[in-house]
Amino acid sequence: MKQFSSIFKFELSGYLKNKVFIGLTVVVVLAIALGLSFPRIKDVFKSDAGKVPTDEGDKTKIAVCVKEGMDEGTVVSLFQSAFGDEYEIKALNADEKELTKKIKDGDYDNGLIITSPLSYKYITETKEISDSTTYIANEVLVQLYRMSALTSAGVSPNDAQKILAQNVENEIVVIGNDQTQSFIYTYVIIMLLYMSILLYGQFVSQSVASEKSSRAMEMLVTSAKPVNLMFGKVLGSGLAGLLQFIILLMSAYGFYTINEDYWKNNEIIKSAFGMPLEILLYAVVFFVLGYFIYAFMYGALGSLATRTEDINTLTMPVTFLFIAAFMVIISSITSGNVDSTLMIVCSYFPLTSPMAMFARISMSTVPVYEIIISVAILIASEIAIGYLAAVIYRAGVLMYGNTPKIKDVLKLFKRQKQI
Amino acid sequence: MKFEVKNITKSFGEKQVLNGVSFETQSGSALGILGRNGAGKTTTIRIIMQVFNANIGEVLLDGKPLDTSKVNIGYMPEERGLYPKKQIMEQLLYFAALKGIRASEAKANAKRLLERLEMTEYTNAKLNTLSKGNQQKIQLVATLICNPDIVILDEPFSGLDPVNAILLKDIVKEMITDGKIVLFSSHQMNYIEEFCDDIVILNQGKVAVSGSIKEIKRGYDRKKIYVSSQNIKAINEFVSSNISHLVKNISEQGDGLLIELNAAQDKSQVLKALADCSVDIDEFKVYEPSLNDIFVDYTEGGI
Repeated sequence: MKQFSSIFKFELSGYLKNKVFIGLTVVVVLAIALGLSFPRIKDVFKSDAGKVPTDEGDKTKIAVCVKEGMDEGTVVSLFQSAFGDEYEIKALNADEKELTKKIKDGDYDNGLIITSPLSYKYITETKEISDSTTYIANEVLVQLYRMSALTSAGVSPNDAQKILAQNVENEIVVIGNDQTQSFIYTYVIIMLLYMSILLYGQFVSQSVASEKSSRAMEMLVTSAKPVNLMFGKVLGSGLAGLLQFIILLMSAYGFYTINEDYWKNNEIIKSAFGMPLEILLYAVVFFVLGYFIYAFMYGALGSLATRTEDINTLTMPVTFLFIAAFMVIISSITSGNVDSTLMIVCSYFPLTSPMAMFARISMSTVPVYEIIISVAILIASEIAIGYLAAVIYRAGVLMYGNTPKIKDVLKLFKRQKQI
Repeated sequence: MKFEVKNITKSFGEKQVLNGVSFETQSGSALGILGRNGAGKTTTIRIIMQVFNANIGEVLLDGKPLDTSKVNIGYMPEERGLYPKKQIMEQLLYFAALKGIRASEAKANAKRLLERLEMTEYTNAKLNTLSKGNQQKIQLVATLICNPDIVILDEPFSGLDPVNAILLKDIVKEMITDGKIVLFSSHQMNYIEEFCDDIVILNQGKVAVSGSIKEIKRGYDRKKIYVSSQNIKAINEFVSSNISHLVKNISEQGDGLLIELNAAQDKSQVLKALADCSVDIDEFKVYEPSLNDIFVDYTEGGI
């Protein structure tokens, strides 16, 4: 136990003294701070500019060329009220060629040529991803068409207006999880789990392989028990990782709280931080459990590398498996179907369960016994893989030369009676 | 304490590396394990350190199987290596902690050893800033920091300059006086001869010869004579023409001639003949084989 704690402390302090590790944490915290304070920063600059009255030129100018026979005034005023203050709608009498020229010259930003009551052409310099002009124009034109259809059928314009203005009211009662709310934070946490498990797993294999390539290994295996070395290393990097994970989560939460007022209108950010505490705790639990199973495998594989350059080749199968699991889970949460047979299987299989079970807990309603079974399987396989990793490590660390084949690794098991 | 290696046999796959290797030594003496490259020296040492398990055979300390986790053993592997990017004191203390040495004791030992090896100025340096020879000295400190009862050094002199080699030699001598069991392998016969009482020569995984150096030397037929003179040529001619029937082989060595006789009892005849010849003779003695000769004798033709 004393030996284990020496190794654990040595590994942990290795991370905490590592300039790259500290630097990375600081950079990410700064990025989070900057990202979450962005609206406030933007606002500071805006409020300076706000003293100058907003120029007409700030508005998006849209030219509307109306087909003959349509009431130009009504069309323009309807468009204006539908688009709102950010836009300036102007009637223009021009054909497509002239309008294109005017847009190119910068007289207008966009143009609409209404060719019939239910068709139009939209001319724009750059079609932006968030461009909703056609969506709004469609609404307005349909409204106009329905109005004229109703009035021509003998309904008074007033009644027609009333009929068209009717809305349906609804109320949604969510008994389990609201996926529209949980989707964002589930996505964010799954991404975090994925990145940190992969990163720290790689750190472990890196550290094992570098001890091997610096030949410190023979000193280590003749001084300490391999099980202690393996568990000390994995737990040491694990705690460093967990600390970093918690620092990042806390700084994100802190900077969000400071800037909460500025994010009032952003549903995505709001729902990401609207995560229930319970889910956050599950995230930490599955981070820890998921990390261990991969860290042991990465550690064992790292011990088979002769040089640090070999690590990538050796860890590729595990990394691919992990990426595949990630893809399955991401596509399931994106489609919203987190209780499919595949996901249920994944949520018990120890290599996928950390992410899959978390996704299910977060986005669906999972019975407690299922969670307990999944976690139990995970912990049992972790202990087994941990010991297995120690055996491979013990035997692998003194193998130099070619990257071993699976056959050679199996032979090691036969040869190794004690660890 | 009595240290025994009994009948160790080890094969890697098809290749038989060790075949019934046995030897023994005790506290306060040093045992040199000699052998050509690939003779099985490092494998033997690794089996003692339980890096590998032997297929057959055992390693005993006072008659009981050696448990490396219970006995304090200082081991310097042939593959030298520590943490290149860590501070020297930090990693020395780590290796001591792995051996279960208390931090205060480890610190005192490290200071004392660094001083003894003239390395104090590097206490807080990173290992990879040191020269190869100095890194080797740090490796020695890491080996001895646990104040071991048994010291196993695999090729300790390789990479050391003559001054550092003398320093190491002195330290090994101190350990022997302190009553430790010292085991080491080396190619440098002169060092081994200087402070090893006992040797084991391995050849192709087998013990070619083992025992005290004196007895091994005594075991050689005393039929080689060394004659030195200012005029070797004349002696050579005299021997060839007058007593050639007694001589098996004759060769020049340094300032003298090495004359191998057909039989050891012919020595006095040769002495008489040489005493009567007119050439001035400086020295006439029975030739004692050097460790080098013994080594070559036992390992030639092997591998």
